[in-house]
Amino acid sequence: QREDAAQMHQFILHAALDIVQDLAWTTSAMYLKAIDRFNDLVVSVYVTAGHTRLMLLHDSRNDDGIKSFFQEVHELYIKILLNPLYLPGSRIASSHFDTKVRALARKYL
Amino acid sequence: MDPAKTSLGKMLLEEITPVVMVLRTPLVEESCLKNSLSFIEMLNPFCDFNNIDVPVRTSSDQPYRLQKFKLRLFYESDIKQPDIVVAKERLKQVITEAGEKDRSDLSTDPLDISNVLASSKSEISPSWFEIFNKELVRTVSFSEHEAFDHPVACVSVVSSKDEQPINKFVDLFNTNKLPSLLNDGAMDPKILKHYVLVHDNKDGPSEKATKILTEMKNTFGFNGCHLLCINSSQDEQIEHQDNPWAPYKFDSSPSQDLGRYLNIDDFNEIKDLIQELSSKHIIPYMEQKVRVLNQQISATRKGFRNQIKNLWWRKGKEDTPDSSNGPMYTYSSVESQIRVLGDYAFMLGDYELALSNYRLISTDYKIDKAWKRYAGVQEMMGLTYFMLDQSRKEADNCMENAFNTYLKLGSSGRQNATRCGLWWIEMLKMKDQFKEAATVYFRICSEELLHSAVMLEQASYCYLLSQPPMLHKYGFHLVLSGDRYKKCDQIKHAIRTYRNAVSVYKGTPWSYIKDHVHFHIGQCYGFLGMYDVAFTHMLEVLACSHQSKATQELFLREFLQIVQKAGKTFEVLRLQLPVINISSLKVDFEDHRTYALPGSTSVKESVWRSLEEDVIPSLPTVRTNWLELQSKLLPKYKESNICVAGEAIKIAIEFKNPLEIPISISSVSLICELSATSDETNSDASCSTAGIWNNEEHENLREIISDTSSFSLSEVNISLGGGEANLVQLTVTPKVEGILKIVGVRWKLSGSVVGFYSFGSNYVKKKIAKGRRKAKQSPGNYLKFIVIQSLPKLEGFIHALPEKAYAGHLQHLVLELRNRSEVSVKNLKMKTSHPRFLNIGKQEDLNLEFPACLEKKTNVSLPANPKIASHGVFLFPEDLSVQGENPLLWPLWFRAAVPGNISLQVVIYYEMGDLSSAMRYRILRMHYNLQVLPSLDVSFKISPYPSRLQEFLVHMEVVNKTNSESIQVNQLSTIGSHWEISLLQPMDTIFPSQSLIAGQAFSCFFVLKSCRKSLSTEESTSLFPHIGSNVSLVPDGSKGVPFDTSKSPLAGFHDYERLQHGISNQEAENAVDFILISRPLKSNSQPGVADAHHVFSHHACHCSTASTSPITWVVDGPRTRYHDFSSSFCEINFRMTIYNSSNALASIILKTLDSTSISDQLSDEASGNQVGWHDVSLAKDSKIESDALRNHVRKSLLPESVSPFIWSGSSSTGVQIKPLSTTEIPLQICVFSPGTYDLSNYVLNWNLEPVNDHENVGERIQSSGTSLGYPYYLTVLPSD
Repeated sequence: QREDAAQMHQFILHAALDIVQDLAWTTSAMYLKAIDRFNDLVVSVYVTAGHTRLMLLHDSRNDDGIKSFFQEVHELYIKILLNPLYLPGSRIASSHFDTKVRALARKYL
Repeated sequence: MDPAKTSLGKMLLEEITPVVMVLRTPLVEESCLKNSLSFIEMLNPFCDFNNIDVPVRTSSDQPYRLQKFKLRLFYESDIKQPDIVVAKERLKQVITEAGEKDRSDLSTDPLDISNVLASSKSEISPSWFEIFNKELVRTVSFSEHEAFDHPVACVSVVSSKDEQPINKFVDLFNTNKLPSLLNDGAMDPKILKHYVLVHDNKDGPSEKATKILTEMKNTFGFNGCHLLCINSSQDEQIEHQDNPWAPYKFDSSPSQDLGRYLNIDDFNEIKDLIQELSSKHIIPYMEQKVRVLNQQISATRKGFRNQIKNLWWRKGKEDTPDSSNGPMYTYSSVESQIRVLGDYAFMLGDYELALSNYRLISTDYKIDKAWKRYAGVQEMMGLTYFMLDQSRKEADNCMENAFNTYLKLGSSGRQNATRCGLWWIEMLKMKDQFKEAATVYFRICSEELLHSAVMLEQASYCYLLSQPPMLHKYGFHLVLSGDRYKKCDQIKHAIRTYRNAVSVYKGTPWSYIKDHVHFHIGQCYGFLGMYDVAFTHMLEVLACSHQSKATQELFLREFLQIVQKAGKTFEVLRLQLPVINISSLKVDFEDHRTYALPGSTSVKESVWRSLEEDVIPSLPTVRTNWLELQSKLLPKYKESNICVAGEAIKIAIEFKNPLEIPISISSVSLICELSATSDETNSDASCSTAGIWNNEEHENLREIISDTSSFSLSEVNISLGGGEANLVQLTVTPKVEGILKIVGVRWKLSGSVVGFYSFGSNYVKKKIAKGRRKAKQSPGNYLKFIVIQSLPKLEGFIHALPEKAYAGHLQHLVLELRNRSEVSVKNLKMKTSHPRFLNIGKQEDLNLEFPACLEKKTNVSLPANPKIASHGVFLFPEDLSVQGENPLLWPLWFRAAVPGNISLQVVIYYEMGDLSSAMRYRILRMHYNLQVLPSLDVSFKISPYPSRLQEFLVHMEVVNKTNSESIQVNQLSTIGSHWEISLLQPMDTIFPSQSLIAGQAFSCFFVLKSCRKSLSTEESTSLFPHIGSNVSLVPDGSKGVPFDTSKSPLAGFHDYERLQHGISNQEAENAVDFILISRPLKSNSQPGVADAHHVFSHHACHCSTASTSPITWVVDGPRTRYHDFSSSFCEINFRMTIYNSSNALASIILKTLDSTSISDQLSDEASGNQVGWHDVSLAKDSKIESDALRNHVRKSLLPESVSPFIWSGSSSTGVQIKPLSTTEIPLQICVFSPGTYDLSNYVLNWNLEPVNDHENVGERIQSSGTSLGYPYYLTVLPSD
């Protein structure tokens, strides 16, 4: 059951990319709010200036929290980018990043 | 664009048309079935008029001509809402049929997504959707709230064979079989009636029929009666070109049979009948009805007064409790009439009229809360807007409104919602709003899987068609749909959708998505028995380390099942299971460098190189020209690896199981290619194409595998647990000369799937990525070997070399060398990396019994140095050659010199006995790792023996640093003949237990005496450098023969110890070397008994005996003297003996100082130099202070004070002392009063004559200096 959920979540997020693609160029805001939904799951997206897309799949509605969450994650992401050994676009393996993001999720979501 | 020409328009013109109810007797049907057609089916092709051209005048006075018209014929039994179960079955059948037809291209590769986008709309979505949608729309026909499905006319058909046909007509109409719509008052039972008599020409001439017809005309009126003759063709069957019935038959029986007895006359007769029915009866009837109704409605509802009245009346009705469907409206109610008017107007193409009526009724229904009817009207409004091609937005709103209202009704409105949705979608598609259409499709999805599967698939195509194409959504909906198809066992549909999805998700990094798609499509192909395709898809999901354990198991099980069902062995180029860690690839091969043990290759090549530098002859002596030799041996392949035929090349490579479940791998072996020397071009070519892997390459590989005659491969079976990695050792042994290339590795997964892995391709990529650092050695060469003819190879082994030893451990070892080939080897040389640890013995030592041989023999033979060439290279005797079965044994001495982890390397150089071979020499490399544990920590402190010349006190401190061992200290020896050592106290008193347990420390004093005489003895010293004196530290009872430190093992090691400290043999003037020999006690057996087989030796080198000056002296004289001071002062004589321990001539000046100053100074010193506890640093300070004071006092003499004693004689005496000799100087003092005096107030100034041959580099000998006198206390007592 959980496996199904895992792949379903990936599918939903992946499918939302189409809409992100359209929306990203229509607004100057980085936070695109909830852009797509599937049944009771909502996809919120944050697009950085470098067009890196942070996507969050959630079922609760807490717009402000999600926004702050994205902003802080963006900051973390910039710090990762500052690392000269990190290849942009590759998988982020930093455990520090992981724990920080988890902490932020606990704080805002 | 004309709305009527669009697909939705066409659909509406077909679906929303007048319905004609057909009543017939069984005999009519029987006649028709001769043509494999029912009566309705027979008529159907003629009901569709594209150009009927009938003038119509509805409410407005403006007449217009109706062009397209269609009648829908239904039997009375079919005029009812279709049963849901039946309808579902029907839908399922449609889907299954479509699936069956789809078979054609299942096994082909999915299209690339760009190709999909390029293809036209009609290609993208399968055509059967239209049929399906039509069927879906029909599931909700004959609903009572929609008047367009209510029959407009009724046709009664009786066969001429029927008895009493007139009565039959009446009977048909009177039966209770009439549809409920008519019976329960939903529609007007007074409908247009038409009577048809069917005559089968096969049953005889039509006279009887015409008779009946006239009868009918009399009874039912002239206009409504018809005679239809069918089956006119006599006997022969008619083949119809473009059989008109074929498109109307779905479950087509062979189409030739259709209408086989109907000739052209029948054809025309049917056509005329229908034409007349529509144009002369139905259309005028509808026209008439529209006009009548319009008038009625205008009277009751139009105008301001009527509206107010209507509103008032409805408000009053509000209290009545209603069902969810709102109140029941009978045909006579105004609402129904308005609806009928609207629908008739719509069917006649008067859309304006229809719209105005729909609007009117819509508000009424809304107020009445008759939601279903409201939704139905909204739906029709939307469609009417569309047909009018007006306000698209209005149309959209109406459709949405209708759709939502139907949905709100719950299950009863579900199917209506579906139909409404489909029409809405068509509308949106017309306007190119594919995205919106897709969302509507998604909303249509019901719980029923099959239904929603089709809808989702259609939604996905909408996403694909939208501008810009929404590929992600496309893929997602395909997968959703495919999943549902699969659950409904519509495997072919599932494959189609998943295949399309694969093209979207090709190469995606979203792992779960990729796994899902490939796994399910693989499973589907497996169901269909297309195992090859299933297999290729299943391969993709094998490396699913991110999945949970259960899923991994599922994937692997499914994969193996498919493999098993396929019943053959698959060969896969890039099998992902297990993962091969290419960076772990390690090649061990032996060219001129051979290795004794597999671990030897872990040592860096540079270490070996530096070790071998001295062993390998830099210039081959036999051949004159080095260039010539090289080119002759290895044309072109200077940088290639060389290996020898018959000797294995070892490859170590890591296999890693990424899954959490164990997998078994069998028959792991290398893929190699051995070609003759000449065809280099071929191998180069294959090297360049190594990066590209295609089928051709695959074939190539298989070819390579099949040809294994010229080398032999090893096979390994392993099983990898979850997440385990295993380093697999593989070997290939070439049998003939040529060029050997190691291409890759192959293995068998679970005994059924063969995987290949090519080293080449990845290596190329990796190396290029790394940059050009290693560009010199091309990667192809890394695994390419030149195989040369077989050569002798020496195998070496050191017996009984311990892996762990205590420091100082001394052992006798045997080196065994073996040569298995026929050709002998010669000129053996050997070198070890740590001569301190490993010493090469003499051949005679081979059979010595170990600790015993260390003991001192009575007849001491001259110890001859082993034959050690420069840089510690040991040359074996020249006549020695190793060949065949007899191994060469050679003794070695081992001593663990220092604690720590030691990597010990030994290289043995040998030359081939036969000079014609391609390699002149080879080197055997041996490598051992040792762990040396600390044992005894020995330190020596030497200080001059006070008041004795050339004697020293040696303070030895021994600490046992082992963890558990007890060690018995056996013997202390000095090295060199000019030292003699003896115990200061007997051993029993200072150290009764005689063994040191772990951690215990012990200290002991010895007296060391120098017996060096003069320069002349030096010759013998150099001759016997290791002869020294021994002190046994064990009590007499258990004392064995003392160990001989001057003989080979100990002496040899001692030399290396000295070398280690950078001291040459000769330079040992003031330094002394000690060897402490100890033995560990057997810990487990009786304590106190030394282990006879273990001997430890500890070497301490260059312990300096010398104080700073080379001059030592002793003042000799009385200590106490009684004297009668009344008679005279006392004269006391002393003798000072001075020894020059240096090798130079020393000139010495002795100065005695004035006693007064000294005595003052003495008192100062006494105050400063306290006895008992005192602070050391303070004392030091005071000493410096006193030194300064002394100088000061010396200068400022105080003449008035009188000292108690004075030196007599000259105040300064000068002597010259030869090297290593003594001189005596007489001294005298005069004492004036009794007391205790310190006679240290003298100074010795010495000066060495520099002697050239003793001036050593790096060692500074002080050439001059000043020494203060030693304290010498003299007590003079008055004698009574």
